[in-house]
Amino acid sequence: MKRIVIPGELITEQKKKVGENIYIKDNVIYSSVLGLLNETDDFVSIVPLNGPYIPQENDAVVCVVRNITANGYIIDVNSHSDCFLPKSIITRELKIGQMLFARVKGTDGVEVSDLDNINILPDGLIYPVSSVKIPRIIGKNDSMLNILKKYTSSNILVGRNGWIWYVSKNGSLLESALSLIVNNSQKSNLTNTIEEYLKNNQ
Amino acid sequence: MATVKRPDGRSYDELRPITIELGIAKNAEGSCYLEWGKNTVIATVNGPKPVLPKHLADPSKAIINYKYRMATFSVPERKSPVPGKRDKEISLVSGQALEAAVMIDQFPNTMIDVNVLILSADAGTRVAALTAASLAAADAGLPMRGIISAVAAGRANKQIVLDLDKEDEDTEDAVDMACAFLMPQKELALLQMDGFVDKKECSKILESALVGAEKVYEIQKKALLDKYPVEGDIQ
Repeated sequence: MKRIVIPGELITEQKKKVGENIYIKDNVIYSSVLGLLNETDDFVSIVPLNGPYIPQENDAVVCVVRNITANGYIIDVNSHSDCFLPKSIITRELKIGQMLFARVKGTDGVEVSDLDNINILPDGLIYPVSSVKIPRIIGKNDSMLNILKKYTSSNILVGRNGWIWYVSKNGSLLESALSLIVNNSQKSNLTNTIEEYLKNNQ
Repeated sequence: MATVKRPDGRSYDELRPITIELGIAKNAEGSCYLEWGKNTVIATVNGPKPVLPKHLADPSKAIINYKYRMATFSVPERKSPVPGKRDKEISLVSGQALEAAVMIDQFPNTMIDVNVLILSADAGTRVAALTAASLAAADAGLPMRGIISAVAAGRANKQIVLDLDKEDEDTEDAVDMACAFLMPQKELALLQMDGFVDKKECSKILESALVGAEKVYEIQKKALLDKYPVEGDIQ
């Protein structure tokens, strides 16, 4: 059963395995964020409805070069602090404002310390959303993403950090569809709603 | 007791009407607009982000930079926009109260900015500000142990009263006790008091404040759930 819980709300007094955004005090399980409760017979976790990007290893992220120093680049990954990328691991010279698609190699759970598998992106635009909404923008088996690509004839790369890079023939429709997903992320049957919206506004 | 009324028509254990709206500032990560009687407050939360100046960074926890400011037009006579002694003191104690709720140990070496602006003041602004700020923090998706529900209680005209307004505060024997509780645990997070009071009366006022905070908590809870309307099943 799913419902919205608020921070500090008592979830269960039974012993269960716990996932994210939960805290335990005196063997009682409480919620620690405003989010959707996902509770089964032996497991509880909460999907937050908003929140900062907390980097994890192997996240695919869209990032931007913010500054150039003598031996490397300062990369903005939409995290608490910027990441340093040494010049030695990248063959091409980058300019300020260059967009990249990379994999998080090292993190301490708060900030990104290392990137690898760096791809240089061609010119495009970045649409920022909250990182907790990314699973809904991708959808089950990429269903939502495929619909967005199909109806707006665009090329989209979704970063786990909440930045979406795109090149589109119908950018305004794509942006309005994305904001519709973000604002209704707690509702069910979203893929069909978005498909209908895109069909009607094409 | 309910028949005896205060100058504004409330009974002694009645709160002023509270309305709350969340997510009003698009570019802030969390925001809250709150009307509490004649008080109006806007609170925004930004962060976690890098600490500036850098030497303030704490490797064991995030620091909360709480700014309580009153607009120049918030009081009958123009208030200087320069933060005075009172603004700084309230900012400090309110920030410490908010630290009780937010799990600051999860974001070492970062800073969380909380900006509260009082647009209109009519007694009890610090509790209104703290109530709004904790909702803005929850709206920003920060991990929290609970929610801060703040309320003032005290004495006016030899009577224990809840949620004092300006007329109550100006009586001769006025006692104004601003309290903030971490709800639903009912832990005390902030306690400030003006006036003279004996031990017995003090605990009575505190009990009254806790009852008031529970009422505030219910309103806060409703505001948080109302932001995400759900039709039928979820996901």
